[in-house]
Amino acid sequence: MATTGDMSVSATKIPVSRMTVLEGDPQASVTQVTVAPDGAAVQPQPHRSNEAGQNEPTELVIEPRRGWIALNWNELFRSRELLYFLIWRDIKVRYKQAVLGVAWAVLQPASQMLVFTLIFGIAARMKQNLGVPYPIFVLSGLLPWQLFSASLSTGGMSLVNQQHLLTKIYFPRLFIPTAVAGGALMDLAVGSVLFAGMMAAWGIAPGWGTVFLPLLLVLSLVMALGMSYLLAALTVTYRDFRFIIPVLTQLWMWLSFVAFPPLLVANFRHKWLLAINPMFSIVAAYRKALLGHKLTDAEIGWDWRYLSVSIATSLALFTLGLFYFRKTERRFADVA
Amino acid sequence: MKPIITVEKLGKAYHLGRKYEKHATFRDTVANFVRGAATRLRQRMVDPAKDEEAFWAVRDASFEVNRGEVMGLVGRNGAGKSTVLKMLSRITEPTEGRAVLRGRVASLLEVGTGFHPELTGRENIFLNGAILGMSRVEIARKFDAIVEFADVSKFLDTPVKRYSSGMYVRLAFAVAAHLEPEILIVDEVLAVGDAAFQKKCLGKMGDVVREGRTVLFVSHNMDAVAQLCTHVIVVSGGRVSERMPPDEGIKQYLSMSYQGSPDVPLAQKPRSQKEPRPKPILTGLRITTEGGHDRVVETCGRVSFEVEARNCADLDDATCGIAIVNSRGQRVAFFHSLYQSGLRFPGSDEPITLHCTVPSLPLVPASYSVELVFANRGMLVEKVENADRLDVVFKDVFGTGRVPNPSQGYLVLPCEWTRGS
Repeated sequence: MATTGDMSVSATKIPVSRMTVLEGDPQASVTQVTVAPDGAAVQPQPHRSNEAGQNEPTELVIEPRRGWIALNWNELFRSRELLYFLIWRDIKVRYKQAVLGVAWAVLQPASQMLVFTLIFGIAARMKQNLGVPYPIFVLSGLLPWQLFSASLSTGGMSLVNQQHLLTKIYFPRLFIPTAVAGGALMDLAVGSVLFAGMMAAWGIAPGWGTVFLPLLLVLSLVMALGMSYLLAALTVTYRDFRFIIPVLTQLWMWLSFVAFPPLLVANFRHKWLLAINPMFSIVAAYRKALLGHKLTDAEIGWDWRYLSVSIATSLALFTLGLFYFRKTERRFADVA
Repeated sequence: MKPIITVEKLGKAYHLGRKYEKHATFRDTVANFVRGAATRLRQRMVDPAKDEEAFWAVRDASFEVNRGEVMGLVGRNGAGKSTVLKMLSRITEPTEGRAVLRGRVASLLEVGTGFHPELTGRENIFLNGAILGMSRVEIARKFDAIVEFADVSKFLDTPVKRYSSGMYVRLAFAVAAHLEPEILIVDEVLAVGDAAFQKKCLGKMGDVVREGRTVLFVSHNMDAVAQLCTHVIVVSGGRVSERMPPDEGIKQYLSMSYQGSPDVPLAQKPRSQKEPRPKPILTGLRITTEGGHDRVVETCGRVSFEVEARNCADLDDATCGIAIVNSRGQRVAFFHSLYQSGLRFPGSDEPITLHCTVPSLPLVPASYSVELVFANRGMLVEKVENADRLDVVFKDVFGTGRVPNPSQGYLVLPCEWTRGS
């Protein structure tokens, strides 16, 4: 995505071609290209007149609704450009007025990796049993984890932080927490470049399981979006989640074994309990997919039973989040 | 053809006693949950329409707007105008009733919703446009017009947080002004920017109207309402009136402002003070007119005011002024003790009576309100808007059977017309 394209060159109006004048439509006589702020050229289409619009009158009925409210796919599709703009805004704004700018997208996972390496890799001398260098091990888990934790923390606060939008204008509210996931995906992409660089530096080739990465990505997105919707909607009504979310994120990270291998609990009798946390399997599966041929203990978490429980839990959480969001959506403006 | 907007018995209740309308805490909910299913059930059974704790911001609102009409909603603060607009823009859901909008809707309840201070002007045009419901293509097509209207071309690539507030508002309004919905819902957005820009905004609104769009318009600026609206609905205490011609609606709105005024003594009327004072200064106003009618004077007739002031022993150089304000909120005449008579006086805690006689009040026949101001050393101390009302009625002063009316001018002045050759 050319989001960081140089603004200064985006001349607003470049007549590129002159077409023969179409009958009675002066708008179409000159094709103009206006460069959108994201650098993409937008081709204006001939202006449709009002009369044309009235041929298909849209009728909007406003009345109190009760219970679960079905998704309005039509509306979501129609305003898809807004989602795109919101994602673009979130990414764009994040590193504004930061001296290091976009570098933070790399520095964040890198610094966290460094901290874990210091604590676990060196102090706890864990690297012997892993099969790969500890930094590689921890980063392979951090990448999907950060996608999830960003959705948890930023997504959870997204509605509250944008109250002014909720009370002043209508648009599909779902887009606000969804946009956060878009930004988190961007970070994941940047982090992946770092990861690839490290793999190359250590001379480790990715395993054949890499082909499953897109599937895993979808699974983690489903999970991230589900929690994002649920927490965002809950935070609007119950501000307690402002304080719960950071604690939840911390706790969840340790339960997902991002920083150390589940080997530690290999002998734990009730380790199947871990499968209930979808992030446990997702993190393990990322590792297995990327480094499976090297890891010494890739078994736990890669188990199809673990994965299927996780997939089921993710889907359930996603559904719950989506439905709770839809149910409470109509009173956001009153409560916010 | 069906009306483009049909509103039937629309109502919105806020539950004052219920927790979730405020910032509920999770603990409350858990506590309520524990308190027993019975209570919860009973609460659930309460029909919001019959809930006694409910505060109805709007109730039984029914009206219709036809294609191409500009409907003004006028009413005092808290009357429920904005709630109606919020329900029609789908920001908040009605508690009861139903509204049908037959056309693409865009609402503008605030200028610059979604503007991000860190983003540049160019970026914000696209973001704000998208939030207001424009497509990328549409924004791109109107980009130049927006920039030109806002007059910010030099600062397009500057973050809007560095803009002056005037520039910010101009840009924000410019984006909104280029929306092309079939129904436009606008709330009090013309009240921003400097006079020149307000004029430009009004002009733009006028264009929107001429293009035949349907507009629902809330404003406290009666001048704008009179200029733009084809119909007016008066909102008061959560109820809406029948639709009426703008003049009548504005008159009704303004007369609401003096509702009860004949009975309320001046001392108890709301007033504004430059610095809070323990006791009101302006405590009495009597208007006597030719013919002895109460608050009614014939055009170009004689009218006298008797103002009573007290509780102002701390003022050493006091003056008093009487303003006549027309139904559009404009002062059309000002009678000031210093300007017209060179009168200034020391304050006193005992009542002071001031007389002001206007031998001829050459105003066009209409309803006016009387505003009192009290100043010390030229600085305003106290002001009572709507201190009283004054109706100027028709009189055949020129013997022609006609005088100018309020849409033709403000004053009834004599002149000589002759034909040369």
